[in-house]
Amino acid sequence: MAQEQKLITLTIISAAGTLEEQFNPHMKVHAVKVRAMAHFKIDPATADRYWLRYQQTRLEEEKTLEELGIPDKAQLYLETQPPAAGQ
Amino acid sequence: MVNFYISPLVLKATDKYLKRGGKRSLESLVLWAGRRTQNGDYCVVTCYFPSQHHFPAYVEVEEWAMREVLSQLYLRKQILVAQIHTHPPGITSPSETDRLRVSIHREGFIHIIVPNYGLIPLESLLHCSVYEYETGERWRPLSAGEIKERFIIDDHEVDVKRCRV
Repeated sequence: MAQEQKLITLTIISAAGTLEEQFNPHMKVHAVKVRAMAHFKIDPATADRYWLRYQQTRLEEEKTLEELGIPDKAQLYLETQPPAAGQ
Repeated sequence: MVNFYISPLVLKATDKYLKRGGKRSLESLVLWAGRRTQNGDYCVVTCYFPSQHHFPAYVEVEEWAMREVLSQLYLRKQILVAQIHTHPPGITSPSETDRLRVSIHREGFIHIIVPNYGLIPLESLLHCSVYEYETGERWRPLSAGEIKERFIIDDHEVDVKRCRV
C-alpha cells in the first residue's frame, strides 16, 4: 500500500504574478522553479538566471523543500538579477 | 495582438522622473505595472521608481529595491508590464546589458528605450525604441505603426500610484 504523501501549499511571487499551488516536500527546488517559470511563461532558456528565495535565503536548487525546511504556506520569491541597462 | 492601455498620469510621472536624471546626463530606469484585462490586454496603472545607481551610460537597480517591488506587486495584485530606461544622445539600440538584465524574461514583456536621456516629448512613445520579448531571448523591435496602434494613452483607470522604493 502506497504511503500517503502530505503536500504543502506554497505561494510563489514573481514579477509576472503569483502562483499558489501544492507541492510534494520531496520535490527539488529546481523542479519547483521550473514549474513556476512555466506557469508565469518565463522563457525556459533563461532558467539559469532565476532562483527561488525564502525569507532572506536563496534556495539551493539540488535540495528538496523538506531538506531546506520550507514549511506549509511559505511564500517564495522567484527572482533574477535586478534590472540594469547601459553600454 | 495584445494592446497596452497606459494611464496618462503614469506617462507624466515617468517623463518627470526620467528628465530629472536626463538634466544631469544620467541614465534612469522606471518599471510599469498593471493588470491583464479579460481580453488579454494590459492596463498600466502604476509606475515604480526603484532605488538605483545612475551613471552617464549605465543604470542599475539595487537588489533590495527590486525585492520591495516584488512585494508591492504581490500586495497590489499587479504584474510588471514594461521596463523603461533612458539612453545618451545618439544611441537608440539596446546594448547586451539591456537585453540580458531585464526585470523578467516573459513573453510579451516590453522594453522601452527613451533617447537623449529622456529629454524629449513623452506624450506618446513614438520617439522611443520599443521592443517586445519573445521566447529564445529575442527582442522584437516594434514599428512606429505598431507602437501607435498598440500603446494607447487612456485614463480608464484611476488608481494610479507612483511608488518610490
